[in-house]
Amino acid sequence: MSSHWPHLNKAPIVEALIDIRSELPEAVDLKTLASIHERIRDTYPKKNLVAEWHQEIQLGSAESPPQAKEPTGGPKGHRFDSADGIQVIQARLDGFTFSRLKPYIKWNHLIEESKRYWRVFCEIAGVLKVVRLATRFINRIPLAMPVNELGDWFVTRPELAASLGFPLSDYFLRLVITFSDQNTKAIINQKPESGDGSKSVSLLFDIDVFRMVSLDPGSDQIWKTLEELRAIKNRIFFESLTPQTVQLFDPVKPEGKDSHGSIG
Amino acid sequence: MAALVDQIHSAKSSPSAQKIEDFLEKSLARSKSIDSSASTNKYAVITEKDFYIFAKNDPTKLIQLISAEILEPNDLTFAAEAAGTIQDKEIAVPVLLRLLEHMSPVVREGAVYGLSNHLSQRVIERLKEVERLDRSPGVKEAVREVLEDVLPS
Repeated sequence: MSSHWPHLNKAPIVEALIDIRSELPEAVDLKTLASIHERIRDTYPKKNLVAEWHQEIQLGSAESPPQAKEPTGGPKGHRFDSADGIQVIQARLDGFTFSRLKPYIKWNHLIEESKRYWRVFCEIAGVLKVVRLATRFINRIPLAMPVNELGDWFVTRPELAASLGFPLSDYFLRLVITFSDQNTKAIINQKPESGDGSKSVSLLFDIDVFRMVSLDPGSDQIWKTLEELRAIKNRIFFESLTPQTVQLFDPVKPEGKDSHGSIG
Repeated sequence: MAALVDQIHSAKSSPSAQKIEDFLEKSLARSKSIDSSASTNKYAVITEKDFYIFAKNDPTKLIQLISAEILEPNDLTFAAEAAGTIQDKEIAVPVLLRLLEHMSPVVREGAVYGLSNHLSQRVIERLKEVERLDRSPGVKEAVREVLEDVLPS
């Protein structure tokens, strides 16, 4: 799909993913999902169980110290990593995720790989329905120190009252956007990471766009919807950065090429 | 936000502070309910430590995991050792005895170490049999190590 956004030769993407949440038959369990490995072992030789943990921590007071309750949760599915560790498939009881880590190639690659392994997941897990679709791009944006004005680099950013004149040393920005259809949302996270001391700092810029749906697992609408989510993601990315920041990533005019992070 | 919560906790007696605290807690809960998509960091890869957490908090879940035949040998050996820390021998011992027949010697070793916490006469007899018959020197050595304190030299 073409877009008017520039193509970035040096895209700052550290992880790009397609996430397809789905409803599975009750009989499907971790063992069923583990058998996916037999089909993909050649390209994804590493297999691990993944879990989700929850732990409540009660804030302390002068009289009583903080108290951590016992963790709860447990296994959610399996994770299959490619031999080079750059591509990861998650097959969970709540759905499927395909991730491409750095170096990112292009959107078409992300989609084609997702399609290929989504078919395997559907065959083995017998997916009943797709309920949520997402694309998420996590970027790491390096900035040379000192960063005097965050506004020189980011249009989407936290901002202190100018009259305060205080330097900002750290922050965590989380924005949730609900689009007019009410079923589509975007979560934007932005956070500085520690760099190499005084020379540079990296900012994590994480854009997660998703839509609640009710689709047949074989429906073409899955991929059409993901294209729409990607267009939103691109808009958030490019309109959140200043031209100076975009220049860091070696942009070239689109001319029918893909945008954020693709190489054509 | 955390600093603000701390400040509010230090002023617990104030009714208005209580209202703000309720508001913050509800806001945080609402924020958490907007679930992010599953990046590779969202879910933790299960490690040795997790098997011990299961053994302590939810031993049945650990036994189910071991019995489900979904763990790779390198994980299953840790799971077997962790299962040995389950206090209830009725839960732990049968599954560990089954693992003594696992095709991977690494797993059988883990089962031997797991059984070291449950050395009943029946288990000791079974381990002596393993020492005699198992083809793996590592497994035999593990049995000798486990039994050296309970058997006359």
